[in-house]
Amino acid sequence: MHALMLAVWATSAWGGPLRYAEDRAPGIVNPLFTTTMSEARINELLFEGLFADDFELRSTGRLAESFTVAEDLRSMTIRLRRDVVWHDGDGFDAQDVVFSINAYKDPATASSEAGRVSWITKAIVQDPYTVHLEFANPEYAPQNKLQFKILPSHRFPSTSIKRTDGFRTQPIGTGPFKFESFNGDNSITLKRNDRHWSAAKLTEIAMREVSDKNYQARLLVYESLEALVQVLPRDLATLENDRKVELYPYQTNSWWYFGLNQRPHRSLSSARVREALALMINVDQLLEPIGTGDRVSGPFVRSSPFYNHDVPPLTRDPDRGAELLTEAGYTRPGQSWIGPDGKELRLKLVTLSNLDTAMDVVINVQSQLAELGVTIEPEFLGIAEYRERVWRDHDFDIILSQWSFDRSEEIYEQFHSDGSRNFIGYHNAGVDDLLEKAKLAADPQQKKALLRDVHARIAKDHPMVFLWTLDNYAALSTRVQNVSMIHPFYFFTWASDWVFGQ
Amino acid sequence: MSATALVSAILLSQIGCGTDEASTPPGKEATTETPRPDLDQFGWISEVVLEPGAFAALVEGGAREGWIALHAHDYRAAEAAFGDRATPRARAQFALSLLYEDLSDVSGLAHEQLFSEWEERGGLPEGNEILLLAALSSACTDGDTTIRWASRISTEPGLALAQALIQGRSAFEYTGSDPFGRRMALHRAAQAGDEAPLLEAATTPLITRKEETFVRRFWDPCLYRSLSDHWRRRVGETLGGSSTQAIASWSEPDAPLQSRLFAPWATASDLASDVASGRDPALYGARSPTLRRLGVGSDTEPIDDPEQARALMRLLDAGLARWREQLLALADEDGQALLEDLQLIHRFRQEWLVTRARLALDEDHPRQSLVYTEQARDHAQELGPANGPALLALLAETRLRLGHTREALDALHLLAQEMPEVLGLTEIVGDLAILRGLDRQGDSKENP
Repeated sequence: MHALMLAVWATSAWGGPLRYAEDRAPGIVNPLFTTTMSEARINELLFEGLFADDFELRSTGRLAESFTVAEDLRSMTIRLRRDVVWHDGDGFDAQDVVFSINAYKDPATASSEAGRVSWITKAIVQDPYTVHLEFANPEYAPQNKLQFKILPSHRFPSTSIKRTDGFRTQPIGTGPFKFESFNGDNSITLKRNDRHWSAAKLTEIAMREVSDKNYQARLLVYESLEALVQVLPRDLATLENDRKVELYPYQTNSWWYFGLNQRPHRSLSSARVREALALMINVDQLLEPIGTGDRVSGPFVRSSPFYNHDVPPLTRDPDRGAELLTEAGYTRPGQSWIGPDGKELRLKLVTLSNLDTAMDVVINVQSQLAELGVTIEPEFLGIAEYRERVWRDHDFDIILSQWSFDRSEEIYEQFHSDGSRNFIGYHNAGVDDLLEKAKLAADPQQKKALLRDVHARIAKDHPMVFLWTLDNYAALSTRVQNVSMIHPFYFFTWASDWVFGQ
Repeated sequence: MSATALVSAILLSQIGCGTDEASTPPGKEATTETPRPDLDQFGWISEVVLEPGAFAALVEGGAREGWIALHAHDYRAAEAAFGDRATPRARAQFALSLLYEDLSDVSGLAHEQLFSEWEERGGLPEGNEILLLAALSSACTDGDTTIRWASRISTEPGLALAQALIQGRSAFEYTGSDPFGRRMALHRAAQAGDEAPLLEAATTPLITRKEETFVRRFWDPCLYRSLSDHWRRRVGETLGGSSTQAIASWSEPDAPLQSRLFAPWATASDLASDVASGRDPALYGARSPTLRRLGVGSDTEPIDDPEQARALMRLLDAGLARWREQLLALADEDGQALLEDLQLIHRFRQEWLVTRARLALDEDHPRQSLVYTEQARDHAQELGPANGPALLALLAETRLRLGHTREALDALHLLAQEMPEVLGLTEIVGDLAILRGLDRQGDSKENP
């Protein structure tokens, strides 16, 4: 299979598409329901926000041409570009902006990105190319928050939009590339949007799903791909020594974790049981096959200003873990631990299918915990089922996943009781209070202190088993030129400049 | 530090090889009789690889630990280990002065951006001590905002120091009994030759203020300037004369290998060219004539074009690959082993790129500097033979200059793991990164 794919892809002529690999294809191409990095990356090619980062990471006008902020900082007026058309030829205007904000906010839409517009209380069309926004609180630089993607109002009957809306298979944006096709092998083809103001140099971009990381690296070396968005640490040395490949730092502030479902009536609702589980897992051994990485003790990468270095990563101590289970009312009459309810301690561990590195970790932890009397039942889910089971129904005991953060490293949605990404059901009133204060803090040193405190408190509660952060590098063929930098989160923000060289 | 340990072992074993005549393969004896190529052709790399015996002689007799440390970019350990061997000791001292100068640049930039942007936004903590910190940072890093900050102080505390700064006098003369005065005393001690107390105080904030719900901390903005000056003076003391004169002595035609081994300048004549041009010693090597033979031009570009930097990198790498092949063909087994095991090509490449990055920053070309520093960096997430601390300091400065503040922390975090005196700088850059992110709506997604 691999050899066949290699042969087919290798036939692509130079000057054809830029082919990049994702571990998993985007599950959906609709900015309202974006939950994964692969979706965020492809959105960056297809859609635009009112503002986007320039090379120096200043939020500068994209669909917005100019703006003024009211003196009281509670509203702003944005004048829009007049030279923008949607990929289907319709003109872009202020109605699209207001519609998009209302669609993100519409409870019936249940957008996973609703939090990104929650600070806007009202959006008004002033004229076809002018929008007026009002805010819940004074906003010193509201343009920094207006990077969410704008949708074509003419493609939807109302702001109540379902995930299953046909838009997901025929996405229309204003971005520098337009959707061409979903292909049988889960790949996606995009063509250059010739009417885009940026005049992208590449004519075509193709996203390939390649779940095997080793194979991704080989495809790049064999010139059957031009870009890997994420290189595993173990492959760095090989790629670094390949003169046809260039590595670019791609810092997504990502960390791996086991999320523990602590909703009532779940085995892991008990803090003691969660801590016991954390103490039983040999994290270093899980990390070994992946390569070098930094252990973390909380919800930030170690170089983050919010990381609390006074909180050390947990040291494995299965004996203490056993004591905690006993204290929680568990007994171990035989091989397995039996709970106070008389049932064996069996935990459903859910993760995405077809991710080889994640599968290795799951199998490894299953084996580790089996020796200690805890039964793990792994379930490898497709992305649609994963979304339903994890995000919507919370039907799991443990998930293995990774969170990636942009440079503001905002963890409110993951750990606040009302957070839209808090599907593990974590609740700590003290942490909620600190997160709310941190969100509103205007003093960087105060915010740092608040979030370091959050780190310490979360580490004590064990809502997750915090695992590691990996070195983040992307790899591009040296034939892809004019790549000044990779955007530290969205990857393709500056891809219009990229060009194939000789 | 497995990489360091590995290289140490290799260095030790290679010295053994080089001094043991019996280990020389019989078939290689003829090489001593054939004319050797011009050792200057590949700079100090060829001196090591083609004359392993001379290299062995250099590192034997007690200097071994020093060279192992210098190879591992552990300049303090090297400086201590070289003892009374003046030239290599001064080399380590010079490296320390450059490193702290780089860190001083990062510190000046970060403090200036933090205080200016914080004030512009509103909410900069009130009090003379904050204004004084900002003025002090500018004064210590050749900034141009010293008077702007200091002139706003019209009452004590801080007035005396502010006046001194406005009048262009050294802040270190200030002898007050407040935290500034106490810290300035440590700077004076460092100037007088004792840097230990200043280094020890580096992990203690200069200003600590208890706010209602947290403790505010600011760090000594002059730390790296004093440390750099201290080590620059030590170079002169070690070799006699001024530091510039001392370093110039390494450019004499008969200057020994130890004056350039692991340096960014390949040959004594390269250094002579820099000295004759009156260039900043921090940029020595960046325009080496030797590299012209690789096709790498010494001229810099008028614009900050990263593609030009990448084109230069391609020429450099192709040229160094040719060097490697030629050296392997010319060297005996000991020389070949030294070339490969000590990663001499990689080492020279990195040293040169670090200097070239400094030059790019000096010319306000941060995008080119980003290419050089990223290309120079080994993927190992640690300091050691593969990654020097100056490289990470320059990477941090480059990212700061490009507005990639959060990313600058990645480099500083690695430095701080080995250098406790970088802690305060990491905190200040962290504050700046947070300040710049205050108005953003954070985004997070599953999977990297």
